Amino acid sequence: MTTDPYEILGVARTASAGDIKKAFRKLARDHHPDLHPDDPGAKERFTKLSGAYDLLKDPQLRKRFDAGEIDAAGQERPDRQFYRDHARSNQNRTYRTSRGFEDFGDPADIFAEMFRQSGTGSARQRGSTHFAMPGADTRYAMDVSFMDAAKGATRQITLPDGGTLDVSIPAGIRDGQTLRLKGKGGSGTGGAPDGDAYITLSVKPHHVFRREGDDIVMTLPVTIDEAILGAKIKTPTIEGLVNLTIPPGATSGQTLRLKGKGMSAKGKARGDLRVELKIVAPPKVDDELKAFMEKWRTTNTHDPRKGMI
Amino acid sequence: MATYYTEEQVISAVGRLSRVHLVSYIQADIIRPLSTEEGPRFRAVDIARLELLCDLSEHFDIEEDAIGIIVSLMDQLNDARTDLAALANAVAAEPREVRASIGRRLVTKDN
Repeated sequence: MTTDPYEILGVARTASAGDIKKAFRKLARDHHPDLHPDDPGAKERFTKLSGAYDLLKDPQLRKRFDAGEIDAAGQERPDRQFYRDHARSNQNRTYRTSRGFEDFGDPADIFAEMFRQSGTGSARQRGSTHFAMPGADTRYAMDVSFMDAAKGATRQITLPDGGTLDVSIPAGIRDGQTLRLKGKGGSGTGGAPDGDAYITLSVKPHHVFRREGDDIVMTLPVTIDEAILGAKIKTPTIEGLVNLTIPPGATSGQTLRLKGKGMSAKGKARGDLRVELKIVAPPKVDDELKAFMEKWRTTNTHDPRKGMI
Repeated sequence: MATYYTEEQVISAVGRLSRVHLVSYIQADIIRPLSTEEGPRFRAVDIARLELLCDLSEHFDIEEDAIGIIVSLMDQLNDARTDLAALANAVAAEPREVRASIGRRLVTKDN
């Protein structure tokens, strides 16, 4: 495939700026990925095209290229995001013009309803002159603490216009998920229904707990004696402290699992709390401990690094 | 963590975008940021969409009213494709006889 920008645009080397613009425009129309979402090759072709145009549309750059001072490479823009890649994502819900299939009651009626809906869908567009117009959907972003997301909560958000909205946060909700509050959006006119409020949640990190799938993971520091002798340790969970039994001879990195103390998951069993042990040396190593260790290791050797290198 | 961008970050991320244009796109309801107490917040999808709007405006010299029309059509197109894909997946999960029956009906074009 050619790299010569004149060839890519299909213009003569003597082409005027106007010719070049016209040529680009014509090709761009046929190859812009967002204008042809079905065409997988469009992205590559358009990147080449816009690279060529960027080079030739600037009179200085064009002059330098013609003089051989710069080459065609290096004109490619860094991997740019095209909208069509987002068109099916969750984030794109904001720009949907119809409700999709979510709201249907009876699955058997879905197809009749689908076509009826696509007829009324157009009435919701801006500029419609219907007297009865459904309210607009409103969209918000909200920060949620880790604990609220884990256990569920009801929080109030203050809207930019001063009003408040009660938001019920379901237990186990994930970072980035969107809640839909039916009828809490803009008011409908002429008896048409109110729009919905969509709230996208951002879960803040917690200083102890971390989410991994449906499990919650945490690191529990233990003393050397607790690890060697075993112990019952008061351990935090999202529902408060529980007594965790550390088996004698526990070691750093060992993970204890508390079943069912993790994240709630819709339609599944609740996840677990995984507690990873971390042995911590005492803040001051006293002489007694030192002396004991020096004696102890003459009769106890084991190599934890065996086979490492 | 879901990443949200401020107006300033969006304007620097999308090189060709001016604040004036960003504000007018929001007012025209072509770009829909999330509202927060600290002001409007944008996501990756909004940045990709803004790149497209800059392409339409700059490469094709399309004025704003026309951009609104084009974007509205594009949104409806993307929606239709999404629904079509969902429908296709639903049909693909059906047993062969059902798929064949639907396929025959599509090919005949006489409904």
